[in-house]
Amino acid sequence: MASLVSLKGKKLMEVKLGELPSWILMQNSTPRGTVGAFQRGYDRYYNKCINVWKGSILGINMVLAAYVVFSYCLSYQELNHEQQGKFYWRRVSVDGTAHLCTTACHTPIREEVNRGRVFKS
Amino acid sequence: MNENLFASFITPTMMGLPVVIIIIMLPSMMLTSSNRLLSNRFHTFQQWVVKMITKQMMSIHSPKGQTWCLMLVSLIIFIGSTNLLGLLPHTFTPTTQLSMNLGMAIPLWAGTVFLGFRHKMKSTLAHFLPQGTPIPLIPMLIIIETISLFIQPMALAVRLTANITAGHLLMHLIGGATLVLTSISPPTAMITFIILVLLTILEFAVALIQAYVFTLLVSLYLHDNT
Repeated sequence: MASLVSLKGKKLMEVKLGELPSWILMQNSTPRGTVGAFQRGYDRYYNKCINVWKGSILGINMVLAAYVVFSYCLSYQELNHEQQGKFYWRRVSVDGTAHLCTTACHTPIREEVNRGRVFKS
Repeated sequence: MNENLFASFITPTMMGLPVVIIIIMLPSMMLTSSNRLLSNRFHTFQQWVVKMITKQMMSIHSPKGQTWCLMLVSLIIFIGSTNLLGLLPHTFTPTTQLSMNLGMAIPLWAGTVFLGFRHKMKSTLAHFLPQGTPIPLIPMLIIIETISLFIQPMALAVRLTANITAGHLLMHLIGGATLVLTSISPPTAMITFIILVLLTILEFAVALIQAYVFTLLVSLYLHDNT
């Protein structure tokens, strides 16, 4: 009971995972209170990441991370073809000996499967 | 494998549009400008770096050479920031393209040469013949000096391209080797991983050093011609 009383005053980061449902129920669930909670959360994010005067290095790191993700999206197809290339390297011939064959990336895998005795990993 | 190794050096396009333009402009978008005396931390740090570079680079020049201050400081900041951004995973580095480096080196070198011919014609022509040359060697030496003059922009561009490209290729290869070795022999993979970490630290240094070397050489050519 003593923990329930002190739970209300705690901030989100200090609440333990098991106490989370009771903490949420204890909070101000009026529309004003809910909006206020989201507003406070957004203000924290804004002051840390976006506000140039009060911000930390997190803001620039966010931009760099977005740039990395963007570059990954640009090179996704090339990486996909590289992944598919590995299937072509493990093609096994009729007599059981493994041949290392590289085929062009645009050849679909379905043809390899239909020729029989193709093991993919 | 060979095709995949150089796939990261292809200029990126998105639905036919060259995205490389945005990638080249990205470092300038990340550098701030402020008209306040006391700015925030990032801008103060940037001002400190620019001041250090300016003092280091421009102190040897005459007033005529110091008119190139903006050009040279912009050059070193651009090359340095582009190289550093290229060290992030999956990103494209514009300075790996010989076309771009030639586009930077040839106009700058040509500018310095024309400046020298325009303002100090005799002194510039005198550079083609070192002092104390034996008379029979003069024709050959003038040819050699002319060739060495025209090699300068090529060397500038190729040096930057080769250094950055080689570094990125090495990182790709050693990274690929580490991945493959993880399933075969973890202790060897650990050694290759340590090599990869050391190489990455080296690449950070190389990124900045190459920018400095490029700008220093342009500044030297300018100093010779002003």
